[in-house]
Amino acid sequence: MKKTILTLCAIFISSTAHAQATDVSQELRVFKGNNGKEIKAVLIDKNDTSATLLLENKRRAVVPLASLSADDQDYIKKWNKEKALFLQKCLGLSVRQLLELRGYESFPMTLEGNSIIITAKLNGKDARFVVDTGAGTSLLHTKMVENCGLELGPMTEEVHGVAGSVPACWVDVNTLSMGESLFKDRKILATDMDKDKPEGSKDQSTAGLFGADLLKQLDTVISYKENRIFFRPDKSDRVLVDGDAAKSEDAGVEGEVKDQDEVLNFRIFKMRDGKSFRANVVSKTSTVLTVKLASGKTQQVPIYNLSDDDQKYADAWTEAGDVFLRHCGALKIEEVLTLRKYNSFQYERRGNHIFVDGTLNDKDVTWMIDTGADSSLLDLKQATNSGCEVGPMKHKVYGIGGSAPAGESVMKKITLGKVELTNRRTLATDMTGRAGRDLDYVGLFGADFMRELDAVITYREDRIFLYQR
Amino acid sequence: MKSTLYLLTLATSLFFSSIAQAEDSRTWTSIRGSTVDASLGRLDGDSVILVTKDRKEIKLAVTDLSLADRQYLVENVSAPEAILSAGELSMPEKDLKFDSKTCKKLDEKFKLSVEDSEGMFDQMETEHFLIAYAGDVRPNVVAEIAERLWHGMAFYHMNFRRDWGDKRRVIFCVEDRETYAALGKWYQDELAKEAVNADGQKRVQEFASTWDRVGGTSIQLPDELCEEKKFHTGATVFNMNQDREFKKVFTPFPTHVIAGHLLNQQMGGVGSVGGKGYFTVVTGHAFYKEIKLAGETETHLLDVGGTAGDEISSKAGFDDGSAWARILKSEVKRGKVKPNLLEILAVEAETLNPAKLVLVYSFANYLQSNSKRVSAFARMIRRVESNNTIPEPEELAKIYDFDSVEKMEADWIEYIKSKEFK
Repeated sequence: MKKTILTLCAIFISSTAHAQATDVSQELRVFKGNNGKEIKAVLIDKNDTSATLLLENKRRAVVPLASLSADDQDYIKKWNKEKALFLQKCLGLSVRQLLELRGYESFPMTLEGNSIIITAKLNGKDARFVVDTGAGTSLLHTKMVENCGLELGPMTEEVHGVAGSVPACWVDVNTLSMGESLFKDRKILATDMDKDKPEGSKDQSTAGLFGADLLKQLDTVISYKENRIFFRPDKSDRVLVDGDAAKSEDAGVEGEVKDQDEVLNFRIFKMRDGKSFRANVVSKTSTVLTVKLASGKTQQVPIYNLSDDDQKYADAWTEAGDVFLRHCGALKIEEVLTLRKYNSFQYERRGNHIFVDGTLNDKDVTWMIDTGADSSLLDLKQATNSGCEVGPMKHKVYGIGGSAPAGESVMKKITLGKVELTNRRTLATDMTGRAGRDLDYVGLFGADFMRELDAVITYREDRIFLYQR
Repeated sequence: MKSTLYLLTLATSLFFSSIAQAEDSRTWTSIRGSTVDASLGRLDGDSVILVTKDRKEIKLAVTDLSLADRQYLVENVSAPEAILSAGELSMPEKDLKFDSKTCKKLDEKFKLSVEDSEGMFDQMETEHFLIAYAGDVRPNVVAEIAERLWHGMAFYHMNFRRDWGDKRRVIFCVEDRETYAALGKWYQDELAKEAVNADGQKRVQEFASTWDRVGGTSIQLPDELCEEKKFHTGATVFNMNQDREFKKVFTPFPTHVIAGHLLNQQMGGVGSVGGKGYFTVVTGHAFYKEIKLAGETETHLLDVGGTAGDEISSKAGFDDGSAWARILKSEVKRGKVKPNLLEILAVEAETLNPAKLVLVYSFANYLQSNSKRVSAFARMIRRVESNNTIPEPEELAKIYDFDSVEKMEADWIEYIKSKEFK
């Protein structure tokens, strides 16, 4: 117990030290007593009648408010413990820590060009997908469907892309999974995605599209800075397949899932043999972790039985760090990132697509956020309306439906909140497609800009965050 | 006061130990070329404390770290941006303490495809490259040049090491004529498989007409091979006939070629709006590294023109390779050559002449000529990585902290006239 208090106290100071690393003296405030005496200290807690101060000599002192000067009383009144903890949490935590602690499962994402590639299991077999916020529905590639032993339905459907429409069919997918996230008995559209691809790019193994429908359901977070994608597994399907309880048993650890939310507060541990369980570390020796399972039981797990990643986690785990992390449970990603000088935007959902407001050449416009667009793209008419000159249509843009003619244009100024991009060369093409009417957005805010701006996209909080270096 | 400082230090370390919980360890590089795998402990004034896997703490001055590491500190623990341009400009490629034991000859032969039963090439593996060679070749020389240039890229460009991953880039060094012809034939067939339209067929033509004449070029390896062997798709080829022997580290020609290929790989593909400026940046960089590291240039550029890709011309800078800077200085002073940002970015192989090429060289030289500029250069390359276009002149000026193109041009001209430009 004693140790915990000491840790807490040290941690608190650490936050202030870190937050004001450039000017530590700011944190040491001179408090004045009614009797005129002065002490240098840091305020670490308060209640209605007293304040707890941490003195220069590392000792704590509980001081009645009434014994302090009016100035100090005012300072203490305005001081907010939450806010102080807030700074400490926000400056230190990575998006990854925050999300993994909350039961998100994270995967490294590979960038090919600017496309985010993930490998999921389609019917138990590896299948490559591009993570595409611009795809309203996910799409399978016909070749991939065949490779995974699934059947293509009749080509009676149509899917529409930037360059037109192509025939598609429904596929009954038994399982589509990634880590703990599982979709069962789904109908997903498939099309031949090799068709009409530009010369020289067909030899790359073509991927399907992991679209907004799935991303939304998994409360996905995409972090370009950390090169990671996070899913909050939807457990509703899993109970039907193989409950966590069964899995935990296999892992040699008994457990029973109680409440969905409670379960998500536990970390997912993976064993060497691929099995997993949800638990939190209570203590450790150099070789054994003592964990508390979701069921409430305590269990010992040899560290060498854990996956490489979890061994690293176990190796780095400290009691102090754990206490620290536990205080951050309520934080939103938004709070973390805005305090880290990210610009935060609430986005608007239209169907499965996400949009943010901004300006183009000082005119108010709306952008569609599209991780599937390697390069940002303007709609021809909207580009002209926003004062972008478009050159001869001698270029091509490629997408579903083949290629479409495009012209070069320079966007003099783009803003999203305080984020400003200037003099960016891009292409403009007619994006009205079969709608036959003007678009109500200016174009695609693509992966090129999102990578540059370390974008974080959160489906749960409906927000996108951009950082201007 | 002393005790307070102690407490604060202790507290800070606790604070960071919690960060380290999820942060992976990364490779840190010192300006003297040594590397260490460690996680970031904390920033302590002008020093950084790193924690190794076995929990040892290492304290280093921030200015002793590579530019890429400093950038990491700026972005992840709010280190002041001033550290990016602090200290003298180093030459990481030369500073690296190269351990020749990291070059290993492999028993197995290198095969271009699964069907290839024999394998035409001997192979030497290094940390980041695979040298596939045939004939009278010293693979260890090319290996060392490549590793040193790799280290230079990792030193300056924050994402380079991460993006490279655990793959190797293949470098073919072929002296044996028969093998060289067979490699050419194999690649020509690969290209022909892909060539479904006129553009594709033109590429095959161009390739066939230049294969015997080039000293160095790049090819794309098949996806299956790359996946199986963990190779990067882009590979470098050296045609090592009698007059082209790589005997010493930083032989000019391979230095030029590999430096260009590494930068190109880091910049990624050319975006949909085209490759304007790529030639200037990559070729300039290659000449810059060649002359800076080898002290001279022996590189000529081969250009293929004509409708069928059958007109081949060879381009180079001023004849006297050791006097480029001197001649350009005098031409600029006399007003015969006018450095202009828009024009320099529009230079293409077809329109190249000696004066333009030397100007491209001077520009590349200028872009990386001191700590501040080299940091801006890294910023520019990083933008190209995601945007796949070379920034417009106005943007380039901004990246280099100028409020107008004219001011950057004036600064570049000053540089050419100065003693710094050699």
